[in-house]
Amino acid sequence: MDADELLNHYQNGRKSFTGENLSGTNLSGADLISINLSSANLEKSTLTFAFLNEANLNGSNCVKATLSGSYLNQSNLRSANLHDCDLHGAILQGANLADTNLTLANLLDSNLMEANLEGADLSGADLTGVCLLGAVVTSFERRGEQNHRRTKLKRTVLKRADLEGLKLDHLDFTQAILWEANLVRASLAKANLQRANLQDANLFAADLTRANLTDANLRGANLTKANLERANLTGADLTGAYLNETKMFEGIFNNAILVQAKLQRARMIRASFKRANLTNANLMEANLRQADLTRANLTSANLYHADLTGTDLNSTNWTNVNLEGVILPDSITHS
Amino acid sequence: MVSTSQPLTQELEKQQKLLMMKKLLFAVCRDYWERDRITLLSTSTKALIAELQQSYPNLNDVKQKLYGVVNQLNKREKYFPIATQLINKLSQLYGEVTEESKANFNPLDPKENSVDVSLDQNSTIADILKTFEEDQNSQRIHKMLFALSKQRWENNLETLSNYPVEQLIQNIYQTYSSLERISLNLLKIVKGLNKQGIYSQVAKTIITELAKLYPDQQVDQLTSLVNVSKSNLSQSKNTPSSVAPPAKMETETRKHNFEYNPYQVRQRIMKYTNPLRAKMLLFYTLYSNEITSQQEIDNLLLKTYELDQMIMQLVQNFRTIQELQDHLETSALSISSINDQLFNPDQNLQVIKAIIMSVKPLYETN
Repeated sequence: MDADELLNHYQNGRKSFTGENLSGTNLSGADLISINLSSANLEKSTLTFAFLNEANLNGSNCVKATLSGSYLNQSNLRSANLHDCDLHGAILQGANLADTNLTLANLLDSNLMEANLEGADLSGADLTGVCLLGAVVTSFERRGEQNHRRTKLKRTVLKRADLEGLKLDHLDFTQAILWEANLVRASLAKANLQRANLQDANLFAADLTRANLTDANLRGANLTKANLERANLTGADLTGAYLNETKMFEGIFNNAILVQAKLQRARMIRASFKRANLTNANLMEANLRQADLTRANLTSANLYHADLTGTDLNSTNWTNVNLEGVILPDSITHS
Repeated sequence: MVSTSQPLTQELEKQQKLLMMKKLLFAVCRDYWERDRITLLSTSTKALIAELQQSYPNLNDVKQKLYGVVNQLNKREKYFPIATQLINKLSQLYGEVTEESKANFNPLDPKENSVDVSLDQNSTIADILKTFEEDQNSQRIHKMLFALSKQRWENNLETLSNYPVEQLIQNIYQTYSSLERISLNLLKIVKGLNKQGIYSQVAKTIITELAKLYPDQQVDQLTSLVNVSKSNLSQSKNTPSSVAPPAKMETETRKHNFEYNPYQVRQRIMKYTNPLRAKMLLFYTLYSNEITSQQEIDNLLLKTYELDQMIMQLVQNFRTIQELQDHLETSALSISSINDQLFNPDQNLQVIKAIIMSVKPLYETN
């Protein structure tokens, strides 16, 4: 079926085009509101600025289709194949994208507010500048179905993406690019952020309990009041990061770079900083009770009124450290 | 982005510094340590300085007394830089040339390491200051440092004179955790200016000098970053459209509030309109004076731009909301004339409304 045929039928009142072959057609700007294109073949078709609001595209093949600027509000794209599809600046607000294949798709500056992305595969997709407010990204674990319906975000580009307040627990963000992303109050408990790039990201009050941030790039990131309890940040780069009042109970920061990090009033109880580099870090009034600073480098750090009760300070480098008012391991205050 | 909490902390730091300065003035003038915030706030700095001038006929006496006071304090390493600043300011009042007291006047116990660090830093800043002052582009340096520190452009020399270069450097050093961030921000500023060539040179000078404060960083890479030369602009030159550099930021006097939450503005635009349509309209408004062909609608080029960067540029380029609206309307007409099927005037009008509505709060704050 070609474009004219389809538009004729549609204008004459036909809404269902299930399983039709429309590959390579040009339907730019067409009004196709509420059309049923489930299981249709739309491979390499062009639908720029097409009105597909509330359309049914369930199980359709949209591989390499151009859907930039299209109106897909409230549409159903469940299990559709959107691999390498162009969704630049598209409106997908409230769309159902569950179990879709969005690998290598381009979603730059698209509107994904309140979209359902359960089980969607976004590996390698470009989501720079997207707004995901209110989106469903992770699903409740069902018994025997672990990992099965989780959104896949490996190597996904989420530069400057808006993910504020989202529930992203358990998700796999390995090597994802979250540069300057807005993750304020997002929940990332047990998320896998290994080698992820979170430079300058805003993680204010985010929940990163037990998250895996091994070798992640968190330079200049804002982690103020975030929860990093039992998180693993081995080898992570936190140069200049803001960790004021961050909860770090039993967090692992071995070999991490914390040069010039701001750790004022951070709660670092029983956290491990073996061989970590804390040069020029600001640890004013930080609570380091029973923390492990074995072989850590604290050159020129500010420990003004920090609490080091029970801290392991084996071979720690103390050059130029400001120790005014510090409570030392034996609970004696340094005057 | 960390910027959401930064203005507040900066403001608090400023206030705290002022309080500390007042405490010192109190101690020097009235020989006691005033802790009461209310008393401190209710006493004017002017009155204290007048009192000081009456009690101390020359600056040396003030210095001696002041450092004596600082030496007796618990938090002397915190008060020392404040005292130095105070002396610098007072020296103007006493008509003496600002000469750091560090040469023959070392009031503190040399064992105080943190003070040594700040002294080191002060001398580095003095070095940088000298280089900047001697540079033929010293005024441009001043403007760039101001933009870097205050997140807005200022052409008014009188306003600039209220922000001495030294203070701006201090502020930049405290605000920016790395030279990389400074460089990235300089690049952003340069990209918004008319005279990009000159200002990219100025940015290089700034990076090379400020590198002295950030010892372990790669300077070469960063200076090449701000090089807004042909190679950096080639991306836009590959296309048939003539992409003019963003215009007129330098000639403006209006103070913009750049410290907005970009996520919020973008979110509003997305809520009210089609993001791709918004980007197209913004693209023509910002970068293209003449629209010549259908080819330009090809969004390949548009993919190299991000919506929030364009919004930021928009706010920098247009002084008033009315001026912005006029430009958007002109661009909308031009786009409709190319392809009125895809870009009918009604749709464009709706896009303009959405953009205006979204950026309006940024204009109201000023």
